[in-house]
Amino acid sequence: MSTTVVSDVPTRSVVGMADALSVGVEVVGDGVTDRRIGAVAPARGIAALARRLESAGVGYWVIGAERGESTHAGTVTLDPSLVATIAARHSAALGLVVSAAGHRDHPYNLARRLISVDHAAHGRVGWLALDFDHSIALNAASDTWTGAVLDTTHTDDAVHAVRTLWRTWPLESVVGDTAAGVFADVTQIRRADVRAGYAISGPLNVPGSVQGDLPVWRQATRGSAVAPPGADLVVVEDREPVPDGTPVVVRVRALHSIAATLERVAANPAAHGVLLRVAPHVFDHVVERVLPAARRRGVINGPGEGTLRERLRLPVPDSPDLSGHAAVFETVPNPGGRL
Amino acid sequence: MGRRLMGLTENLILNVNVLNVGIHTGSWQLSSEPPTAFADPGYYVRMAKIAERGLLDALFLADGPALREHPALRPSQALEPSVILASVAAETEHLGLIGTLSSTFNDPVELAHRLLGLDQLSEGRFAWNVVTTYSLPAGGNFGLADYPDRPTRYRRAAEFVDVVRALWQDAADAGARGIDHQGEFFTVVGSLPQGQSPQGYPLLVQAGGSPQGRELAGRAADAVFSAELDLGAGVEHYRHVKDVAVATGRRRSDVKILPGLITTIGSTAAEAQRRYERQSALLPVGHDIERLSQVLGEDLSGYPLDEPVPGHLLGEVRDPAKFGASLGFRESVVRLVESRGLTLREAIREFSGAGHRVVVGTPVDVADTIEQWFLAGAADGFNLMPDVFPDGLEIFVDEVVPILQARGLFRTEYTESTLRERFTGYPLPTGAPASARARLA
Repeated sequence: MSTTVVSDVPTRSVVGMADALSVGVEVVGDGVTDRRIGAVAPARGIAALARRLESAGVGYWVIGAERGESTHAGTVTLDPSLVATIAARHSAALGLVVSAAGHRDHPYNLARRLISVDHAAHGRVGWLALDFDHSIALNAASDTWTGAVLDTTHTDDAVHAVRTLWRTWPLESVVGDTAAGVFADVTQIRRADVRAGYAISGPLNVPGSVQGDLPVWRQATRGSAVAPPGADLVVVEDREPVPDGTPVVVRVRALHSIAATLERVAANPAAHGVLLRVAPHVFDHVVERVLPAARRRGVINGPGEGTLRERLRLPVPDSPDLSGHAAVFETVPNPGGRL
Repeated sequence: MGRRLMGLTENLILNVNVLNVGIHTGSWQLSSEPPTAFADPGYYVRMAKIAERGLLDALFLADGPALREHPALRPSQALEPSVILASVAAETEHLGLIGTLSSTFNDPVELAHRLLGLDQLSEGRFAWNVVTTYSLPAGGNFGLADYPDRPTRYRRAAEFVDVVRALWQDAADAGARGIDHQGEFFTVVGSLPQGQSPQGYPLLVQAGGSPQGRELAGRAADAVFSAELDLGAGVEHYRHVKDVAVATGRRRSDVKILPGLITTIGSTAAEAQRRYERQSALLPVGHDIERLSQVLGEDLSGYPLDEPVPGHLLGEVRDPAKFGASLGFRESVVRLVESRGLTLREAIREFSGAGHRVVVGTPVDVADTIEQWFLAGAADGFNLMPDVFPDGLEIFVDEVVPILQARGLFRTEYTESTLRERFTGYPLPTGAPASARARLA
């Protein structure tokens, strides 16, 4: 399989809006403690940051991405799913991507919490699936539920388990037919029967997302020509090789000469978007000057309309296909309805 | 305000248990909310705003990581509780937030991190209701080939709570040195990536009335969500938990006893009765007897409704370690049936399918029973369980709360900034459990 390097692709002179880059932003510290961005109380800091990102036209905010990096251990941080929940109540269009690993978090709890945040945000939530969570690893170097080594294969299993659980209880099954006394059409509810890496019977106890599935981001494996499975978008570091098969977003950490960097990334036909890692001291400059200027030049796109998946123009994947899975409820309820 | 006990004035506590759209099985058919409300955090925010308008102490959420009710019949608790409560925190100012999270189906470090964060995001309004969870479907969701028996679950719960509290105490210490815990279930070395909350760290609530549960509550909990059907049993269990608290060096008032109270309220007795009958008519045939059978662990179908419940169904549980349902719920039903010699039909009416006490009546009736139990020393307050949301909560807030205020039993404004101050009078925790302190020294 061939790989291309972002900087080797010839530059296109004009970038049309249809090809303009999607924009994700990672803010160091997530606004939890930094007074330059937010306020003293963490919830007010998060709310202020969400509003500023939204008014700057940013497509999505990736929350807690640094947790996947060993340099992050010891930094003050809060659970990204709760940060996203607060942000959801203070925004209407901003995408919210939650970073989380199947490390101390079991996939059942992860699947449920991510869907719950997505319901709070009416379909604006995604998941950056990490291999390892350095913020709460403490002494645990393996999966605390299964003992598995925390490599990309383990993340493959965790992503597959979560995505399978998301499809076990379709939201459309909730009919609420008061005349017939039927709350949900249970013929649509299927077992998860996850067996790879975890043993999970399912179904999930919360109905699925209004956006089909939440979009999933995964980090490309350095040096691998193959995109990690189960991802809608793959994150590659700027100037690293691009794997085949899945749209990529290019993470840009060096924000000097950022205008030129955006042009260079936009010239790569494999690039779906850009993911900017922004430190608090350059936050104002990036959201008030760099992004508006790049949008005027047609290099980056605006927030768009609809769910996060619709804004990013990502189709709902075919897999995992649960049509062959057994229905959970083959009989009518007992009169007490208890399971 | 409140009642005077041993020279101290104690205030009545009123929480609302938002059990999706109502405790009643047919609540979704009567609610003005849409059927998808149970999967919308915004719905819980709306209920929280009604509760805050009524100056209630806290919003309570039950939970377990598996479907609990047959979805053809009714909604279950669905959304993850820390997400619901973060949504509520973002749009309320005073209301306490109590979430049920299992010690069997969570990792103690991840949960300690997330819940302390929720306490920080709510500026000191969160309490953790610790449960060990008995649910075979939950076991299947977490790859447990053999479901852990009751003693194993409680040993894990005790160690889990020790680890979580030690991590929280460590986070509250300015020079956090980290914990070093080696136990039967967990090895945890290090510190959480955050500091303390405005109330230090979350309060602890314990639910359930098994003997192990009451000991855990007296030793470590700030509040207990209990199930009591009978005033005499309520007084006895209240004293027991308070005695355990005193025996472990705490004040009697350090642990609040809050039984569940299911309410069906009408402006007149006749209206309340009509509301009750309209709800009952929605139930599938055999619903209530099936529920009571599940609580007792005995099949009651086929027994005559208008004769006393046969005594052989009410004896001791043969093997408590293996009993598949709640020992606390079963004990409270058995006590009620035996003390009043109830027929099966009467038992079903008193029990109402949920294990908690039911009051069907006017706002004055509801205020009277709350006052009676509070002043008798059977309760420090209640976990209210309205039949149907939102109107079952609205009538409580608009009609019952003013009566309790007029009687000097309930607050007329919020005065404390954290849940800890409201429940305990202390701004910060008075101390971690002895085992955790030893490790921190």
